[in-house]
Amino acid sequence: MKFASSENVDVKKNVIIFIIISLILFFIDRSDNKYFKTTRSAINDGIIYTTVVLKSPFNFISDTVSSFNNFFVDEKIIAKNKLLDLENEVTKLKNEKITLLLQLENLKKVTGEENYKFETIKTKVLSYKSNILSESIIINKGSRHGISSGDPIIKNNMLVGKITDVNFNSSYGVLITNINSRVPVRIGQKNYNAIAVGNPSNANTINLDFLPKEYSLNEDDYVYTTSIDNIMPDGILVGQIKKDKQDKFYLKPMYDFSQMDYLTIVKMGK
Amino acid sequence: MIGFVNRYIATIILLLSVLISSFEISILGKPISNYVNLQLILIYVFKISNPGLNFGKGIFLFLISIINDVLNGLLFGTSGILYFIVFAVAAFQASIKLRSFFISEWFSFGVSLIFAYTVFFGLEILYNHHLQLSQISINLLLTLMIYPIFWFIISKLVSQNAHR
Repeated sequence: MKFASSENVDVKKNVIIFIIISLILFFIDRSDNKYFKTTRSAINDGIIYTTVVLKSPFNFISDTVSSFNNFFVDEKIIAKNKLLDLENEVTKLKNEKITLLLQLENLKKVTGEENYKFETIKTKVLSYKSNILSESIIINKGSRHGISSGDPIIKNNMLVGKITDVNFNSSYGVLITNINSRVPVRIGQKNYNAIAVGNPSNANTINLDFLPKEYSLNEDDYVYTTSIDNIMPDGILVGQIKKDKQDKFYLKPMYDFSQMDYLTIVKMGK
Repeated sequence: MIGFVNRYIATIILLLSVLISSFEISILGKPISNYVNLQLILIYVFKISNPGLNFGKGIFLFLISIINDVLNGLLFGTSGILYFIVFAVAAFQASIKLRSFFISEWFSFGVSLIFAYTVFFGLEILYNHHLQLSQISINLLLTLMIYPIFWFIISKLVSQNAHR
């Protein structure tokens, strides 16, 4: 038979104390307290950059293993991979062209609309985590570089996500496919306004909320951001309209979310 | 050095699982961490297989929970709540070890998961966050299903030397 030792009593006491501390921290963090936010930013930066350093040997091993594997890869496969890379490049250039044409067309249509010119900053993705509790991208630029919460994250003029939280030297972002992401968009030639919201049942598609009562969408219509209240710059390509099996329209993002190494942040200057 | 690693193996493995979870295998377009909560399994199995293990009286567990919160962009304390609920259930189960067997441990792990997720998602709903109930259920079931594999590996091979 096992009797409660003093150590066991200590542990039980500690468990209760730590649950209470965790709950207190949770509610303080939720309250967005100014002083706590500063402390949190410093702690976040410290842990994020320490993790990057600690992970570097594992990254090195992973990179070495993949280069070692590539050494034995058949030349035909290498050529095929190069071809795939070139195809990706062509697609990216095509998307950029579409975006520029859409922006130009929109500027022609809407007379007097301000042509927003925002500063951009290139960032490196330090970590991308997706699990049951959250989904977040951590990038290596923060408030010291002029980034603020809500700034759009783009790559090749395609919308990838937006910044949710900013530390001093790093920031958190979410993808546009996240169920908590909301992006004002404009659709197709008729310029219908809507809100793009992550689809809870399919991680690779986006729902369109707040569409007008009467609308007629066409498959393959392009969807791009709209600058309501200066939340987003106008004309960043988001995706294309597609139809599902039940003939229901949805938005398919243009960006390939598996290729997140370097991203660009548009500084909205809020 | 080997003695140190043996002594703190539970804390080290848990910390590594938090740090290196970005080397992930994707299943159906989603990282494996969407389907299985590895950290909760590790905490429970380590405590169950070695009742004397307390993660530095809970301090290491708390610090690891903060690291996990930072790396996942969660509010401070979120992982702590989950970790300590599972740890508390495991500690209780470990204290009645003499009359406990694998099935009852497995069952109480399921109870601790349901309790931990309910508390967490209750807090999330309180602040109007959108949740995917189907994904949560899949995660809970798969975490529970994969438990025996980790139980076997850890209780038979790893945990015997861990004392802290």
